[in-house]
Amino acid sequence: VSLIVPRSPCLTFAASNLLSNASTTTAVTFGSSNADGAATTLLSALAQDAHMLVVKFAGTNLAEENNALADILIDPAGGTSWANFIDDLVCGFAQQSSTSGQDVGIGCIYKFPIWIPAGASIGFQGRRAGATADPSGGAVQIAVFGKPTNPSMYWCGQRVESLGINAASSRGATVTPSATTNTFGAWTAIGTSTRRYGALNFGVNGPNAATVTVQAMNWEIGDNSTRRGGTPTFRTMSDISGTAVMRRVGFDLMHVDIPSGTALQARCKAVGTAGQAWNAALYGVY
Amino acid sequence: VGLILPGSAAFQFCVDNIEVATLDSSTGGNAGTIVASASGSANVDGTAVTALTALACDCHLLTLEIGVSAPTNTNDNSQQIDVLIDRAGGTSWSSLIDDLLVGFTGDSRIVGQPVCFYFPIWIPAGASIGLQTRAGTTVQRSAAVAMRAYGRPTRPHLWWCGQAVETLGSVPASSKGTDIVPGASAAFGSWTTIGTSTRRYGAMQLGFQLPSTSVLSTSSYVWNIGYNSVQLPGTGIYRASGDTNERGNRMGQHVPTWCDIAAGTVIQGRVSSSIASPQNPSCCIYGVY
Repeated sequence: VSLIVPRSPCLTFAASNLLSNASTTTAVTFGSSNADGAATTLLSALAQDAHMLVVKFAGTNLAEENNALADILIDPAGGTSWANFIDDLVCGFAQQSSTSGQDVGIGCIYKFPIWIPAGASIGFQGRRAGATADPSGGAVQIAVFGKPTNPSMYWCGQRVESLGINAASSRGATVTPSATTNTFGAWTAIGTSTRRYGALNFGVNGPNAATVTVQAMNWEIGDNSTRRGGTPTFRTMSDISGTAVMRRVGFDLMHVDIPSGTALQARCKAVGTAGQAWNAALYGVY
Repeated sequence: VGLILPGSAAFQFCVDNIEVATLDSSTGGNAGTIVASASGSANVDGTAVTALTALACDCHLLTLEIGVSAPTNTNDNSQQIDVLIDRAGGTSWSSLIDDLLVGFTGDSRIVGQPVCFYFPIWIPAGASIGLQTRAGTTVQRSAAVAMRAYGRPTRPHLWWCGQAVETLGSVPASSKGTDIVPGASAAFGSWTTIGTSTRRYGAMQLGFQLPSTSVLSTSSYVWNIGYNSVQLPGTGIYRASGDTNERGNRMGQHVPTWCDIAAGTVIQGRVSSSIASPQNPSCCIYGVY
């Protein structure tokens, strides 16, 4: 008798707005002064159910406070009658590449194992804290994957809960590094889960200020003032090319099992003794 | 009776090389382990370095983000990285994943670490993970490699992973992959064979690199993966753009490509370019089995 080896989920459907060479992603407008901009369609009328959504934002790096929030919208009927789907993804200080078109370059990325019904359209709206209107500054790359050959090998949720959001300021929850260089600050509450999460994303927005200190920072997430097992270290490096830019390393999708009622926290450390107050958020898939 | 819903795989273990006692205080800094090619020799591996030492738990997912040192527009900025393993936890390295294409990403401190790879692969507890790199120029080139190893899934029956990776299409003597002639002006070129799988893949990654010329034209490139001259379902779209500074952004390498590719499958690639007279970029396939 041969050994039966289980197979991978094998996703056989993909759709993306990364289609042409001229303008490779969708140009979007972030609203200014903490007000949402106009909604923009990213994907129209999906041909199949989707079970994974990957989205990357860029173009939030003007010379002012660039904290930003992006909403992913849905119209299950495939039109533009938008309803909220994933709220308030922090995405500030993300640079758009100048190479060509709407390159998202080192933008801010999120990955959600989430079910989206066939026929639905996916949209975007976003806001920035700064007062400058920037009608052509934003870009979004999106891809969805679905139709698993072995669905029993693949978990996905149906909703996302956003924790730590301060929408009125286009920020997440404030987290401050220790005043001592290379030392983690206190564990800070981001929010409490009201659902059982099977996957988690962490997002760092930027400093609560119009200028960014040049600094590298490490971030951890936890509960009960202890780093959660199975979560990585997250790195942000700010103002690396002169204009309110931050890049992010280590922001993997986390496969977790977090019960409802868990008080989730974050902490960070930075180089230097004059650490700015920053803000961050968590997104639980359930 | 309540409905019993399956949960996710839920990893309980993660180790990375990002957390350090003293953060890099230079402008922008680097994240992860620095590895350099041989000095004065093109297409020769540099010294192997350790990225993760003696894993405390079995690993079932290995993720990497990579950026290379500032390119120059007078050299061939092709570059490959090997992921190495010593199952005994030391530095007696053998190959784990060969010839990851990482060149042309620009200064990792300025443009980030945009080359991403996700390998659902089992690595035994106690093993150390290393890196080595080679470049298409005699000028020594370095790379910053951020690495995470996840393991101890709460529900292992919900997580598929392989035990090895097969690399197709690599040309290590040139630190590049299989050249593909792109279509001009946003048209796709012909399907081109990258290689033939000798194992059944459960996951796959595409590695891609800008043209291995010393003078790069400003252009964008879009890759498709296929077989029988048809795009492989579920593989998405991969894109890189480069300019005369030979800095390239990459998009599309964001998640494992879960697949079921039979042994003996001839895997192809095709490319479109945004310009009328494109140069030939290259690519490799990494199949997890």
